[in-house]
Amino acid sequence: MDLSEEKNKFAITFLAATLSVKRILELLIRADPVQVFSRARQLIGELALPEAAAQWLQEPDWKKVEETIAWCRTQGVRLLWRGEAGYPLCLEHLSDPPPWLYLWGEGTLEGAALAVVGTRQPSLYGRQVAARLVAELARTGLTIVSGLARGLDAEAHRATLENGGRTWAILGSGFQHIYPPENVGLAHRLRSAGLLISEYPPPIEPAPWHFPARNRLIAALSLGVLVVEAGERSGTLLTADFALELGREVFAVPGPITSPQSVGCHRLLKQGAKLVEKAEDVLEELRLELFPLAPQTARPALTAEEEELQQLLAAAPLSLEEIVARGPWPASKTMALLSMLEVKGIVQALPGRNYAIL
Amino acid sequence: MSSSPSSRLSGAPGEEAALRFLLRKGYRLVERNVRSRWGEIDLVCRKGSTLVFVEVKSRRSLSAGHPLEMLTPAKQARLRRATFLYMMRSEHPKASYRIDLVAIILDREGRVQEITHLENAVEGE
Amino acid sequence: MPGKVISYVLDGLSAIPAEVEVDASSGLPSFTIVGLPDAAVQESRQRVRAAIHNSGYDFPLCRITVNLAPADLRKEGPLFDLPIALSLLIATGQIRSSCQDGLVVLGELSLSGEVKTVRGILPIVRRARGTGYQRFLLPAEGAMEAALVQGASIFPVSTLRQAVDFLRGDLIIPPLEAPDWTAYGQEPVQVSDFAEIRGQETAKRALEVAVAGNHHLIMVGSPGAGKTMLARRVVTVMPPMTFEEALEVSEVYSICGLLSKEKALLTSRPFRAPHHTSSYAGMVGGGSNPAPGELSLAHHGVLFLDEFPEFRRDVLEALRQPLEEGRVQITRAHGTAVFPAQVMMIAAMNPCPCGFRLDPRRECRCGPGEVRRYWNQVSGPIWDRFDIHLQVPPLSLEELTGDGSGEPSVAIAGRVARCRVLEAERYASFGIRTNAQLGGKLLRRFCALDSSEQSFLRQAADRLQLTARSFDRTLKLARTIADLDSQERIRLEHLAEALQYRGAVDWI
Repeated sequence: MDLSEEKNKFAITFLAATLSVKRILELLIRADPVQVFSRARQLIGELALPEAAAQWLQEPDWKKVEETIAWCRTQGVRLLWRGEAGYPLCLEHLSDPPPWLYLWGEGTLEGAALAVVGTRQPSLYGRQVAARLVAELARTGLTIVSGLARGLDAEAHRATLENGGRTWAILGSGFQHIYPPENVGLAHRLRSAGLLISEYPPPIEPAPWHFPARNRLIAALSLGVLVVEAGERSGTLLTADFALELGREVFAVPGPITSPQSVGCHRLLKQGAKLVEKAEDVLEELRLELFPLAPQTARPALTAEEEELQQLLAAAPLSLEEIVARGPWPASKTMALLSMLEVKGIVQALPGRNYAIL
Repeated sequence: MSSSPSSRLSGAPGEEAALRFLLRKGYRLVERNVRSRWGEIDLVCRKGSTLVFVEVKSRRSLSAGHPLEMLTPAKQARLRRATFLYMMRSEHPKASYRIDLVAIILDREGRVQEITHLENAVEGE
Repeated sequence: MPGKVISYVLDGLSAIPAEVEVDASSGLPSFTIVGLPDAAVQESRQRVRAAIHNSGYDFPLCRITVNLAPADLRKEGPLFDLPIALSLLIATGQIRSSCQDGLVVLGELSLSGEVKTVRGILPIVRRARGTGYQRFLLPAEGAMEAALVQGASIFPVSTLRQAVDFLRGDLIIPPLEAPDWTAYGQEPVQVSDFAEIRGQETAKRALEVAVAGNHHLIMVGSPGAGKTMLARRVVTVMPPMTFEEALEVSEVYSICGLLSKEKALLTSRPFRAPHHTSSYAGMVGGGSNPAPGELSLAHHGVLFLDEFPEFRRDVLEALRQPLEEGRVQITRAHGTAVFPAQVMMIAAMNPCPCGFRLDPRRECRCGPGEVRRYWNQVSGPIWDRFDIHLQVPPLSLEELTGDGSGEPSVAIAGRVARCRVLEAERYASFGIRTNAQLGGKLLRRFCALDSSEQSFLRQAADRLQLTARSFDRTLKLARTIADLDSQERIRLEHLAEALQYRGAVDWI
């Protein structure tokens, strides 16, 4: 690709901030990337493009484009256009497949993938379940796909990394404005175990209407979508809808009927989603026998007291004070035992000094 | 320094009254109406070993304020300088001295109604 | 013939001898004070004049010059009234001179001639005694605190007449009897006791560890969780102060004018709980006449900061150095005043602006941005000051109506006291007093681990993502926990418990 073509291709991606994918696709039918800017006026007229887009077509900020190209080069960010080698074919199932993708990371877009999504305000149960399921699923070699959002998305990415798995995070913004800010660290850690994916060029900031668009990609790139917890009006239900439209599997985890965070999942289940209690439920449905479930790393030996404490937590997560109340040990000893279990990987500390079996 | 005996006596019944008052209190007159470039000192008296410079203020009525209020800062400053000069030129410059104020209120006929004697009315700086 | 009387200048907590010299010479009567007097000292003139007159003495009519030496040191406060008056009477021959030799005089005068007490008598007398002065003429109202100083003969007076008669030899004043300070003792009646709190076992244990090693502690919990209740009871498990410590605390309170005739020595550890609207000067100390702030008023005691993130940022930052050094330095144009500030800091906060984020029974109304901003109000270095991070769960109804079935403060205090003795002995020649002060070389020396403990801690650091600082904090806490367990070497279970006190910013 000669330099002017490369520049044009990068420049066009900035339209993602001002035009819907459908419109961009219409544009690209009428003109090749090299022609788009020279025929700007004509295209604007024919397609009745809105002000912002027209502005960019007529007077693109070439300086910004060049800076973006330079940044991508230094950071190792790739711009993959539809039609180039490596563009995932599964995306063609969409009525509006992304004309391009920005990719950042050491992973590839190959391999079987499962979307794991959920509410931004999960309950302790939701966290525990997400971590547990993802731990097993990641070990099979499935790529775990999610949206880097607060709550269960982040939990899913984290659990994948902890178990040495692969993960893709689809963003609703450019790479220079990773959202939400508290997950920036997670996003960067993710790059060595997978990919950050975005339809938006690096300088583009997140905006509310980017997220439904991003959700369709999560569904499209995966073999199925696992909804761990979702409230009544959760955005994750949208992702489930996309999955259904695309003919992907939808999985949901049930929860307590008193929990507002399980309402969405229960609705999905009533509508026919597959009920998931353990990783096998997912694998079975996807008829995945690609890799056998990785053998559990040998469970470390536990002392009698540690076993007893583990038993206490078998039923549900408990707060530190509850454990002290129910257990036979004084506070000091209880705390010591919990640390031992944490370090041995049996127990996980959750917000609010709660503990759960991993 | 010169003392002019006559010109001050007329129109100063207050001063006479003040002097009589002080004499009755045991003060002795040393000089009166001492002139200097800093103005005039009404009375110079002696009480014990202390030299007492007396400023006399008289009024016929209180409508213009009590005589005690007539000792303006400017007047005080002039008195300080005048008395200092006097002491420097006297035979005993190191003697103790002070400045008193005698305020006289006269009635319409010029008779003394009230005499107030304020010792150490003006202090040093 | 000038009259000279010795007095003292208080500068922060240091005291410098001052000489009050009065010269009466001929000239138009005047009364001036030189030697950098402040406004209160200038006003001495009116008080001294009236007091002398109303006590029946002659106020001389001549040029009176009072010199407060040394001339380049600022003189503040009304304590020079009495020495000026006496010096004046000496200079005019109304008192025979030289009878005031070797006597330090302080006191404010009322217009009627009464001698009134001034602030800072205790630190002044203590330091004057240290320089060799043994005899003191002081206001009766405040003389009791001076009696605490060993080897000082205190002569209390209530009026100028008494002072004059004393100097003339016409009045014998027996030196004040030093009270038996052990009679003050610790208040035996515990107003609040740990036993009254049912449940909250983790919190109580954490506080025990905190006090044992003097570790700073922060509590996170919903409103009504009982954080204040817990904090207030901490002083009941702290070991009693030594006499030296009590004197240090009393000095600070003396400067603030908070000692009284009845209570000249403070024997209970202070508990200070400043409101979060406190100013910088209020917390740290300051003002032209530098007064100690809350940090110093909490010396050898507890500084409780409720609603921690609501404190002004500059006030929180101002805490860093004093907590590190154990004292506050107030720099002014003409020198630095130093006040002690060895405190145990306990902070409390809600987990989010509405307070109910971690309460399973209530719903949190805060948006995630709000929560993040709330926690960000406190900078990283301030968080690092806290060795122990404690979550205080909301009290259940049973716990609220407790019947005193928990362990009583006395029992906990016993363990803590033994632990403190251990620490004092261990660190005797190393310049620190408690485990919380360990760092660098001393940390490595006194918290050395055997190999199995080392590998456990490394594993834990990896799995729990400990930073270098939290690694060090874990070691310090483990040291205290081992001490409470009467163990010389730090063992696995000590490290394991210590790990539970780490902070987690788990608002995500």
